[in-house]
Amino acid sequence: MNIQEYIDSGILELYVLGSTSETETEELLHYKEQYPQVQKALYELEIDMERVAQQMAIMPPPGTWEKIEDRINELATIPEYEPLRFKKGNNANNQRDAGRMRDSFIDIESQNTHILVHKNWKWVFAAIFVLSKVFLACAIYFYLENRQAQQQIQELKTELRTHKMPY
Amino acid sequence: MKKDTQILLKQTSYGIGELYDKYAGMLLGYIYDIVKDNELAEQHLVTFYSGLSASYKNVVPNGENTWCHLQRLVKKQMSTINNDVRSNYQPKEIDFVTYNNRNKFLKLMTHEQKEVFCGVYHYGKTINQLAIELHTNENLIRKTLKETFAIIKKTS
Repeated sequence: MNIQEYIDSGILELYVLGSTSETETEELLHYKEQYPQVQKALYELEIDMERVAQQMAIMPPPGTWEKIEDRINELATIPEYEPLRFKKGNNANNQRDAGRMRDSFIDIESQNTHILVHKNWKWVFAAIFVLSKVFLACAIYFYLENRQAQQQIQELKTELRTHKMPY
Repeated sequence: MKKDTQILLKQTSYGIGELYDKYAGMLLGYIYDIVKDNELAEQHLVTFYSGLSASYKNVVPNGENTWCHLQRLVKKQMSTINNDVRSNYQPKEIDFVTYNNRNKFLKLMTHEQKEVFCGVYHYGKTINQLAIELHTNENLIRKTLKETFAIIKKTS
C-alpha cells in the first residue's frame, strides 16, 4: 500500500476530528506505529486541532471547578447499592417476595458516621470562635477590674474606720 | 492517618484539576459551539469533568494527543443527547462568525468548507451523511475537509 496515498485520503483529518469508525481507527493506529510519515502527519494535524480549539476557547465562569469538585466528592461518598433482583415465578411467590421486601426496607438510618456540611459554615464557626475569645477576654478583664474595685472599697472602709476611731 | 479512599480521591481530584486548568476553556468553547448556550455548555462541562473521575486511569491512552482524546470523549457524551434536541441547537445557517469572532480560521473558509468542517467537528457527522446532505460524493467531502485543514495550517 502506498502510504502517501493513505495520508492524502483524508483519513487522518477524520481521525483527529473523531469521525472514524473503529476499524478505521485500528487500521490508522497500526499504520501510525509502522510508518513514521503517518505519525508525523498525525502529530501535525493534532497540533493544528489544538490551535483551533485554543482559538475557540471560552474562559469557564468562576465557580465551575468548585461545582466539579463537589460532584466528584458526592460521587465518592455515595455508597454503592446492590440492584434489586426480581425473580420470575408465579404471582403468589412474587407477592410473598414483595411483602418480604416491604418488611426489609425500613432501615433509613445511614451507616455513614460523617456528615456533609456546607462550606459557608466554616465562616460561621470561625466567627463563633473569635466571638467566644472576645467574650472570654472581656470576662477576665471585668473580673480583674471588679476584684480591684473590691479591694479598693475594703481599703477605703478600713481607712474610714481608722479615721473614725478618735471619736 | 488518611484512608486509602481519601488519598485516591485527592489524587484523582488533582489529576482532573490539571486537565481542567489546561483544557476546560477549550472544551467549553467546543461545547458552546454545539449548544449555543453558555449556561448549558457549562453544565455539560461539569458533567464531563465529574464523569472523568470514574475512569481517570484510562483518561488518555499512551501516545495519544490529550486534547484530541478529550474532545472525542466530549463528542461521545454529547452524542447521547437526543437527536431532536441536538438539531434544535444547530443554527439555521452555519455561520459561527455571527455568534462570535473567536475563530479566525472559519472566517477564511467558504460556506461549503464551513459546513463540512463544523458538521464533522461539532456535530460528529460522517462523510457519508455530509455527502447525502450536500448532494455530493464522499471524495469531494474528503477533499473539502483537507482544504479546511490546509487553511488552518496556513493561518496558524
